[in-house]
Amino acid sequence: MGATPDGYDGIPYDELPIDSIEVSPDRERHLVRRQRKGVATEIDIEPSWVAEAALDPRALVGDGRSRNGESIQVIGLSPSCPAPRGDSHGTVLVVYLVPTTHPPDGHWLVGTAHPAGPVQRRRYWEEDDD
Amino acid sequence: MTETDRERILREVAEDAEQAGDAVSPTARRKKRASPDPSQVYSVRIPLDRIEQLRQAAVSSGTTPSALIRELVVRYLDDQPATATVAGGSVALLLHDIENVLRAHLATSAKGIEHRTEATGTT
Repeated sequence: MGATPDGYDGIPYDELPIDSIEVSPDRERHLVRRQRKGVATEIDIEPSWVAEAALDPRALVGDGRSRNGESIQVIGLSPSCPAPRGDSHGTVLVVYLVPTTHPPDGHWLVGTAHPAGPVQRRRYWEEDDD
Repeated sequence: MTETDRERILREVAEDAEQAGDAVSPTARRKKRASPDPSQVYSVRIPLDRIEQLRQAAVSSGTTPSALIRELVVRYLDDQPATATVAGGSVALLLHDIENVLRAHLATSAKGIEHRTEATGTT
C-alpha cells in the first residue's frame, strides 16, 4: 500500500513508528552534497545529523510523494548540524525515508536529506496545529 | 526485496526529493509518537576471519554478535571522561579506539575458548 493521503500502510503519518534509521554506504556518499553538486554553499550532511532530524519527537511527517510511493518526508531538527548563520538551534533538515518492512516496524532506510528551505523551516517552527 | 532493488528505490526517492525542493508534504502532521529508544544503525566491517570468533564470544556471553558490539561500544563511551566531546575531527580516533576495544575483547574471548577447549579435551 505504501504512502497514501491518509497515512502509510494504513497508519496515520503522525503515529508512524520511527525508532531507528540506517544510511547505506551508497546513500552516505550521496549525502556529501558539496562535492557532489559542486556548490560551495551546500553542506555535507553527516548520517548522525540525519538520525537526529528523523528521530526528532516534534518532527513533521508526511507523504514523501516519490514515484514508487514508498517514501515519507520528515522535517526535523538536527541540533548538531551547524546552523547556517550561527543560529544556536542547529539546522532543520528534510529527510526522506523508506521502511524496511510493510507495515513499517520502526526501522527506516534513508533515501536522502537536505537542509530545509524557507517554507519547510517556517512550517517546522510553527506552533503545533492541534 | 534485493539490495539492488532497495538501492534503486532509494535513488528514485532521492531524485524525486530534489524535484520537490522546498515543498512541505500536504499530508504533513506533527509526530504524536516519540520513539522510546531512538537509535541509528552503523555498519561495522568485521574481518571475515574474526566473524566466527565474534559469534562464539557472543554465545559465551549469552547474547548476539550485534548486541555484544553495542554493549562494548556503549561501555567504552560510558568510560570516557564526561568532558570528552566527539567533534568531526575526532570521530576517526574514536572509531579507532572502539576497534581496539573490540579486538582486545575478541582476543580475550579467543583465549578463554582455547582454554576451555583444552580443559575439556575437545578438538
